[in-house]
Amino acid sequence: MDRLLLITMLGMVIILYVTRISGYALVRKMPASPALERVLDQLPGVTLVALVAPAVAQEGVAGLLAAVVVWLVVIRTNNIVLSMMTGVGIIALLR
Amino acid sequence: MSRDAAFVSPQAHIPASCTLPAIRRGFRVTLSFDVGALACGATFGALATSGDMSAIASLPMSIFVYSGTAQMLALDLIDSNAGVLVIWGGTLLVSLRYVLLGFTMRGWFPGWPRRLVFSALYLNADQSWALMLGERDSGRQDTGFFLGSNLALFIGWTGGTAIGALAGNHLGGPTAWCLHFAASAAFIGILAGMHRGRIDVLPWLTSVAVAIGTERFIGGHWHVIAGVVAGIAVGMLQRNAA
Repeated sequence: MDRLLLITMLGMVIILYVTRISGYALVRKMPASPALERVLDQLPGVTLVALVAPAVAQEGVAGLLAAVVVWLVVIRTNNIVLSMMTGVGIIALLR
Repeated sequence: MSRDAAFVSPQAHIPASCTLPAIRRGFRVTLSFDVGALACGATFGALATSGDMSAIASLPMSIFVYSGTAQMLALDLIDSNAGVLVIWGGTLLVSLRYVLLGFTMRGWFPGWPRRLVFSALYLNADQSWALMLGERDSGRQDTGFFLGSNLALFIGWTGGTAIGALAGNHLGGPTAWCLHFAASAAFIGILAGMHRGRIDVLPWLTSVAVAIGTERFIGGHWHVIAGVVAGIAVGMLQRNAA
């Protein structure tokens, strides 16, 4: 392994570790306040939505259809694994 | 606030919010995701072998960097002879979302020794984070689940990388192996469970629109941050108006 690659990787390891711990490290020190609670209360859902939306959009109509079906399957069965397989199945069929 | 010592079990140094059954449950539930982790890991291993990066480097990278998005990006940049600073800048940009994930973890680790928390966070991944959100949403607060989930994903990703590096170009059309939608479908499933009715509709739709728009027209992995900021802003306005 050459030295440049090693340095590149080392920097990446540090960046990844720092980003992984810093959010929690900051939030555990913050004093509780109603405003913070309101933000933290909304954060998980909004973050997950922002993470997944472009991936669904990339699949176009098939993605939208799969998303709706997955949503309905979860509400009916409460089974994440089943809903995941349904979603992948729909995408595979429509491709 | 919820880090107080009351949660620590008296005899052992293992906190009550990190039990073996929960670790096992997290591991078991996440095994179904390992199909995706294995496939993507194998794709990365195979691409690394056929590109400029040596096969020997791909496994340590999967172990120590441990991030699919950052590794694929680095692979791309290395193959196009980008400089170290460009690679680090890109890595930082795609990894900023982990800061947001960390923000949501307040109260996840009551009574955990600090060393255990910061070791567990080293393996934080989108999938295990999302699954733990779903777990907490169903009233199970034991963060042992997160540990087990991390472990299962780690095995899948590194194992997949090793397979891909060994098989190299024999995998054939490796990108076809990357079951991207599996993770998306699971995330949608978790969201469906988390949805609290009318209060979430506007913030979530805002986040969707801004994330997709940013990804399309600005690019560069800003979409998570943009979507989150816009969604939270609308949520705050909505609550102030109510």
